[in-house]
Amino acid sequence: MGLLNSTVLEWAIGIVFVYLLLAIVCTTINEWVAGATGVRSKTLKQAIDQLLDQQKGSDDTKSFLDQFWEHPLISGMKTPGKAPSAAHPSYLQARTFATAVIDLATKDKPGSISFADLETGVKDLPDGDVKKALLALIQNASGELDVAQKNIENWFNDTMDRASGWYKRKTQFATIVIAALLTIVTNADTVRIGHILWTNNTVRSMLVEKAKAHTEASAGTTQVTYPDKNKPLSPFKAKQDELDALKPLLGWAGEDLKDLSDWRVWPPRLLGWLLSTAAISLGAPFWFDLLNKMMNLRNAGKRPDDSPKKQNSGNPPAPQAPVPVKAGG
Amino acid sequence: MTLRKTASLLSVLVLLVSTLQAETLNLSLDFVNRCKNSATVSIQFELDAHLSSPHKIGRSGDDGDVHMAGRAPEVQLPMVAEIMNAGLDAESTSVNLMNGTQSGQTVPVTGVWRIWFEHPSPGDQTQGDPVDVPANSNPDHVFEIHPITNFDGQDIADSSLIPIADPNDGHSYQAYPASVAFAAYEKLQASVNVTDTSISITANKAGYNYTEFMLEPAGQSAPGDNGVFVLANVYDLSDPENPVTATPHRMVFVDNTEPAKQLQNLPAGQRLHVLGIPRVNLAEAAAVSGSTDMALPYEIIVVAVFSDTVFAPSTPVNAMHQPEPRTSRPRKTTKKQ
Repeated sequence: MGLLNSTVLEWAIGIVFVYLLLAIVCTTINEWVAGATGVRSKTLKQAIDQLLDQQKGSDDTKSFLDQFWEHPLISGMKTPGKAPSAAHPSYLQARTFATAVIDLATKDKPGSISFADLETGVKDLPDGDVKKALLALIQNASGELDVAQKNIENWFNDTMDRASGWYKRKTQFATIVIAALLTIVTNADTVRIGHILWTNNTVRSMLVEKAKAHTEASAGTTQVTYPDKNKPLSPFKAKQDELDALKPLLGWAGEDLKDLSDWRVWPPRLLGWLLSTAAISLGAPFWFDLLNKMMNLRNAGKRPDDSPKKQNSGNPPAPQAPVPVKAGG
Repeated sequence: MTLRKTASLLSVLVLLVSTLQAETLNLSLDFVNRCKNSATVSIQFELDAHLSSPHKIGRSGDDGDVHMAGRAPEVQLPMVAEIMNAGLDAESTSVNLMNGTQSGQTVPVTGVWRIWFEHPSPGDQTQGDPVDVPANSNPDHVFEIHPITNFDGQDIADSSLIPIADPNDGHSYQAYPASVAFAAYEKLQASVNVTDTSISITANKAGYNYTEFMLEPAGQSAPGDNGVFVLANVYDLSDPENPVTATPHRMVFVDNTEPAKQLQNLPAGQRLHVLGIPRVNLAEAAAVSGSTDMALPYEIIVVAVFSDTVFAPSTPVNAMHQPEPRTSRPRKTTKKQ
């Protein structure tokens, strides 16, 4: 027992669970804003524009960049019905990029091509940065077309690594703003939440139970449902009951509004908001991992019989960790 | 141990191993978002291998489809495509076009996208990884276009999405009853991991391709891309009172097909007797945040509707439909029955 099952640990679990749920809400809003504003597709376009700009096209009427965006492999990925500026894809495979670039460089050679065709095509391009880059890339290809394609894919991936950094910086700012707004709207004051959890056993126990249910659900019984049976295109991962658990801890009660005129409540409140904003900005995965570790720590003090039964007893073996798709944007 | 016993034991072992075989499919989130509420996809299909004639019609894999394997830049996964009811006269132009293609020839194909872990490969499949040229018409694959609705400009949606029956003698395909197929679907488990750019789905080998059942819409239908989606309760033909699943499942109807027309004209509270094939419900998978283990999210593509069995639930089902033998009666065929 001791610390492992103590009030301190339960209090900490409660705080972490509150942060986790608020971070999930923050991430959802952030994703919605990113989707609505097309940040991802704009960042990808910006990166590719930077990569292929400063290069004339082979027919002098259009730049290489314009020809790239109009290539069927790329234009086919645009979202129909959207304005041209917002229609660009938000994701592009390195392989698709390389195939389109090679095709543009060997426009005069329809059908299958050899390394020599690619080399000739690149040399025939008008002078420009892309020509220089492609020449450097194919020089290191040992005369192999596959290696040349791989080098071009790596060139694209290197640029996308930088673009991912731009995207993270852009969304990081948005995350902090959304976290701050969420904190104020819900009055998620860490100091007050901490005080309630420390002094109110009922709320603390209820939150620990919800946290336990959440970690167990995440380990095997996630439910995606359709809250409105008339909207089959909008499935939703149920979380409502967990958010309900936050009611005693969040929100603007009458007393909170009365206190607004009392300057003495502001320093701890501002500190509480600041802590909450910083915590929510860390993101749901961080708090989820921490919550899992704390729940394991809490369970470590129990007898083996009390530990949750292995969820997949009788089920197929646990699957392997998936390999992520190579990000292109 | 006799040779026969050894062979039997090995067969069971192989079956067991293949049943437990898990595969991870890594998809780009962009692709998922384009497909999740879409009935079909259109691709430039580089056709590498194909059967020259349709499967015979019986049960299980003898489904009257014709298989072809190839690659497509829009998919970038090992894949096959299938023409349903390929033995019908109406499909002969498409089948002849397929037989006339050279290996590696590109053909425009539109059809219902389908992800199902029926033929998993030993390794993971990641969208965008180089795809090997398939050696035969049915390589290891999780992605398929099934059924094809337009092959090389030939629109076959209306003519092929009908109950499966032999055009020569009229005998019908024996689909799995809902009580068997849905019980198996409900047991399937998956690990789903959603990131900013990808969705990974890990699942064990699945089966039960075609199932025949009654569906009753649980809500209004909604138009998606190239199709209509509706949540519906599923009933086995032999038990019109009790749904075979605890919750309604999403049904996919392809635009300009007989099932879609029948759904549109279905009076409220009535049911459709249909033939369906399962696919992973990408909308539900995409609704997951982070990494989670869950029941494999699935939906049913309604590929045929039987005209004789639209009935009100209050009507005694046996008066309108005799479930035995469990065979599909075709709505229409182009050859003599």
